[in-house]
Amino acid sequence: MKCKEIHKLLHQFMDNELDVEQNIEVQKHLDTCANCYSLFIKVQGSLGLLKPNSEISEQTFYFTRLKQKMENKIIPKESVFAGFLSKKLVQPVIYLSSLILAVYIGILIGSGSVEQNSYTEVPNNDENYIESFAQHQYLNELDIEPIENLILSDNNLNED
Amino acid sequence: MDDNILLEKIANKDENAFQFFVEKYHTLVLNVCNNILNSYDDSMDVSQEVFMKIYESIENFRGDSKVTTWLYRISVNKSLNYLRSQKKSKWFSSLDILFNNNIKNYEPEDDSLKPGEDIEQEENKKVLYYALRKLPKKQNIAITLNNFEDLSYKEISEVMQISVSEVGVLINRGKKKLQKLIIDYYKNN
Repeated sequence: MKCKEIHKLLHQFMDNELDVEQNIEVQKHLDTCANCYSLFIKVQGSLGLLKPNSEISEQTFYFTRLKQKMENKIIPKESVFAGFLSKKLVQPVIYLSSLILAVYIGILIGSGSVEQNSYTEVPNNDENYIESFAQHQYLNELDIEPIENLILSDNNLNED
Repeated sequence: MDDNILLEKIANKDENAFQFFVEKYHTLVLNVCNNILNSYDDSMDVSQEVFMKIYESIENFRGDSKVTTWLYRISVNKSLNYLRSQKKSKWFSSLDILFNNNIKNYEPEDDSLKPGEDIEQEENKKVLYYALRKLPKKQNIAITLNNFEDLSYKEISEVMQISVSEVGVLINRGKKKLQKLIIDYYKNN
C-alpha cells in the first residue's frame, strides 16, 4: 500500500473500522514506513488529549475580582442608531481617512516641494549652479564636504 | 444550601448568596470556557461575563433544568461569542492600538511552555484546538462537552436543547471530521 492510501485509511484504522485484510495492510505499512508511523503517533497524541480536563483549580480571589469588575462596568445608554453609526459607519470612515492622510503626507515628504528646490531657479550658466546642483544631490540638503568642493572646482578648471 | 433557594436570594440581589453561588460554581464555568478557548486569561474574562449575566438576568432561569445545565449553556454561548468577536476584531485591532488605548487588543496565543508540559504535548494540544475550531459549531460543542466535561449524551442534549440521538450523530460525525483535520494538518506541516 502506498502512503497516500494509508493516510486516507488512517482514521478508520484508528477507529477499528477496517476489515481484517485492510487492517493488516495498514499495520504492515506502519511497521515499515517511518513517515506514516510518525504521522500516526502525532495524530494519536492529539486525539489522546480528548479526555476530561479540569486544568483550572479553585481561584481564591475570584469573587473579589468579579465584584470589582461589576462595580467598574459602565454600560452607556446609547440608542441603536448611535451604536450602528459609531460601529458600522464612523469607525471605518475614520480609519480610512487616517490611512489616506498618512499616505498623502508620506508622498509630500518624499517628493518635496518644487518651489523649495532652489537649484532649478538658478540658471545653469551661473557659477553657483554647480554648487547648488551638488548641494541638492544630497538628502536633507546637507552641506557638501570640502573635498567635494575641491573636486568640483577641479572639474570646472578642466572644462575651462 | 439548595440551588433554587440560592437563586431566589440572588434574584433579590442578596450579595452573600451570589458570593456563595460564585464560589460554588466558578471552577466549573472557568473550565468549560477554558476547554473551548484554551486560554486562562480569556477564560477568566468570559467566566466573569457569565456570572454577570446570571446576576442581571436571573429571572430568565425558569427552573425546568438543573442549574449546572443552565451554567453550561451560558458558558458555551459566551465562549463561542467571544471567539467570533476575536475573529472580527483581529483586522481592526492593529488600528485600534493607534486610536483607542482602552480597547483590549487581540493577543496571539502564548507560545511559551507551561510548566510540566513538553513541547510535543503542547504541539498536540495546539493542533487539537485548531481542528476543534474548524468543526461546525454544534459538533465542536458536543465533542467538548462529551470529552472535556465528561457529560453524558442526555446531559449534552439538555444543554444544547436537542435530542439525544442528534447528540450522538454530532459526536460521531464530529470525531471523524476531527481526525481528518488533524491528519491533514500533520501531513501539510
